[in-house]
Amino acid sequence: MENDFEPHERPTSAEARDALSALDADGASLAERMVTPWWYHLCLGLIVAVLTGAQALPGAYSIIVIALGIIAIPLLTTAYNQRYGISTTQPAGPRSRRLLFIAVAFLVVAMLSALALKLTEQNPAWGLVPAAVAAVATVLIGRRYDDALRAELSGSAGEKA
Amino acid sequence: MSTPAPAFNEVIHSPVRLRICGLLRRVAELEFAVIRDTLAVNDANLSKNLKVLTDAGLVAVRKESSSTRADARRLTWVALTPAGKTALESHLAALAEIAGSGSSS
Repeated sequence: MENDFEPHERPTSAEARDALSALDADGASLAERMVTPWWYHLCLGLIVAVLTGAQALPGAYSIIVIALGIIAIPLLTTAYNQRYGISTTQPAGPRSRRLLFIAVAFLVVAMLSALALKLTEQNPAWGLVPAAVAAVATVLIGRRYDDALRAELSGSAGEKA
Repeated sequence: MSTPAPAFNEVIHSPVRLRICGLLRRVAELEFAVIRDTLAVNDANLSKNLKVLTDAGLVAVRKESSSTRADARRLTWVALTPAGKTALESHLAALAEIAGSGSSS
C-alpha cells in the first residue's frame, strides 16, 4: 500500500488518470449508499402540504401551523442524515438543479394560490387543493430529484458540481 | 462558477486523502463510518488522514450525539472547508492537465 504520510512526487499522466478514475469509482460507490427510504418523501410531502394549506388558514392558526411545519423540516432531514450518514444540501449537477427549481416553483405557486384564497376570503377548506398539489409534486419531483442526484454523484471527477 | 487555475496540492495528493476529498466534493457532509466503508479503509488510517487534512485547514470535523445509536457514541461529520473546496478543484484541474498531457514520465 502506498504511504499516505510521505511526500508525493507529481504523478505521471497514467497515474493522474488512475487517480481520477478512482474518484469516479468512489463517487459511484457513494451514490449506491445514498438510499432514500420510502417514508422520506411522504413525510416531506406532508410537511409541504401543511405549510401550503396553512397559508389559507385565518390569523393565528396560520402562524402556528407554519411554525410547526418549519420545525418539522430540520427534524426530518436530521433523522435522515443520522441514519444514513450522508448530508446533501444542494444539487450535484444540472439535472438535479433543474428539478429543484421546478419543485420550488410548484411550491411557490401553490402557496400563493392558498394565500389568494385567504385574501379573497374563501372557505379555508379550499386550501386543501393547493396543499394536495404541493404534496403530490413534492413526492413525485423529490423522488426524481434523488435519482438525478445519485446519477450526478456517480458522475466523472472532472465534471463541475 | 469559473474554472479554477490548476494547482498541484501535496497535502491532498496522497491516495487516501484525495479519495476522501473526492467523496466530500459533492455533498455537504459525510459521516466518518460512511467514508470508512466507502473507501474500505480502517478507522486508524482514516483518522490519521483526516487529522492531516484538518490541520491543513482543508477539512472540518464536527461531533454530534445521535439518538439512533444505542451506545450513545457520537457521530463524526466531515466536510470540506471553503479553502478545501478551492484547493481540491485546483488540484483536480492540475490532475486533469497532467492526465491530458500524455507524458508518461
